[in-house]
Amino acid sequence: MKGKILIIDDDESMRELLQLELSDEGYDVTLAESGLEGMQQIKDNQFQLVILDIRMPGMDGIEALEKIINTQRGLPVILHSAYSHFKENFRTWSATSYVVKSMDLTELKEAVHNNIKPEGA
Amino acid sequence: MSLQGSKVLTFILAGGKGSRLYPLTRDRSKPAVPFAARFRIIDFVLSNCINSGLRHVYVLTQFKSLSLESHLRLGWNFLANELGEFIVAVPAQQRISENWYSGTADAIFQNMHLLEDHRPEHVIILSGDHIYNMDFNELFNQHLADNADLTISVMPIKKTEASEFGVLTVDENGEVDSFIEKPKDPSLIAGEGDECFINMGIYIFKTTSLVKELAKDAREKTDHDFGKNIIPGMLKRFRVRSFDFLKSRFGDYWRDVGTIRSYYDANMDYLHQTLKRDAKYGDWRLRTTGEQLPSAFFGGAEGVTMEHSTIGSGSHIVDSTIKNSLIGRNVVIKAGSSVENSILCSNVTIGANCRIKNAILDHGVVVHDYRDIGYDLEAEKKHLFIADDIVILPKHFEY
Repeated sequence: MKGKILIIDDDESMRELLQLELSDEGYDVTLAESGLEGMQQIKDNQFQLVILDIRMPGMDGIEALEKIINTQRGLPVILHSAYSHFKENFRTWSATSYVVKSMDLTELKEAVHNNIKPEGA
Repeated sequence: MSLQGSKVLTFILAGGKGSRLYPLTRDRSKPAVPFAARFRIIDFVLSNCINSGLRHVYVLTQFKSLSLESHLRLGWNFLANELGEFIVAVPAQQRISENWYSGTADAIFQNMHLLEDHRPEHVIILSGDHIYNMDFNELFNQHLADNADLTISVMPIKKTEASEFGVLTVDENGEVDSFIEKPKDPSLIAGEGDECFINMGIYIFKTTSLVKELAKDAREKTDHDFGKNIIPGMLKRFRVRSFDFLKSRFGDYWRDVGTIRSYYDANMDYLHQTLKRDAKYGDWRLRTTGEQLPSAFFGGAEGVTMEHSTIGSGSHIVDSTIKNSLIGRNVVIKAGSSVENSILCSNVTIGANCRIKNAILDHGVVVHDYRDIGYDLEAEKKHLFIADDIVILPKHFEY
């Protein structure tokens, strides 16, 4: 395995697409459908990277990002949103990377490859 | 360009524990410690803000914040909320973390939502526990003229005293080229003998540069501190300029009152400056909270001898001698007593025939008849708190 990745996204089809594609690349992928579930997964597991949707019901991606930064310092987080305007929001700037959702996953895969934390680091 | 009306948001870092000011900080944070028997330490920076035209001010509190928050509510809640103006205390809300602020930069980072709400063009960050007067317009205008990402106010002090501070070196254009927090061997100012530039904890940032650096710092395992991490990390990558406080309008006085001795000395400096204060500061008012009280009363058969001292309203002094001292509001001094080189905060009562010198009496202290304080430190230290040869009676202490 190339590393454990957590995907937090309320869109089931997006979760499944990312799981399929990233598993094919050799990553161990875990899914969460909400910010709260994602935070619990992060508490219970050691991940090397998180892919985080922004617009979700309940705890959104911005709130989840701030909590991850404060509880798991150094864990890379890629914000993955259908909206580019959240890039302007100061509260998203602490993410490691920001990728706008697209059916072409090249940019996202590159961001994963460039930012995933080595296991044990 | 004036700060008033500009898109500037101000944060005052007011979470300082002030451990070395114990017992004055036993029940309150350092910015809430009384000063000159009339003010609180934080009144200086808040007055500077108001006098400079800053009307959007968040005061970030943390430890023992009740006294400070009460002071802000009673004394500083006067701005026009309907015009969007405010001075507001922001307690450490543990909004995104169960921890207290881990450093000065973390305090701002954890309140990033306030920056997002206001979207200012520049952010001023100040410390709530320094004694100084400053027109921040001078700093702001230089910051704009330099198109700086960060402008830091600096002042020269003797090398022997510099190790307690962040020490900078600057090039001939005012660009900061090195910054070390509390160095063992501080770097000197070129051509200025044994003096060093120190960081005064007065910053103005371009907002986007600040957010970039806070976000970067938040991802890393650091102390999350402006002096240790943010500023050194910005050098050479950003335009970081120094502002020479000494050349500014009120640039001859700034004190970090970190110890009982420096606190006492700063109080005495304030007293000595009183004679020339009006001429020097004019309408640069120092304000605080204040209840309506009658004028001070001096009386008795022999009268009161007073020399080089200030007395607060509502005080009642009979047949006593006051010399070189700061006396707060509602202080009672009964017949036959003397007070010398001391600070008596509000609501202190001194009985008859007492002698007090080189002492700090906090709010509400009661001294009974025939007591001496500050006359035999060896004997007194069995009953009283003494630091730096100054006797301190904490709030509501009875002796």
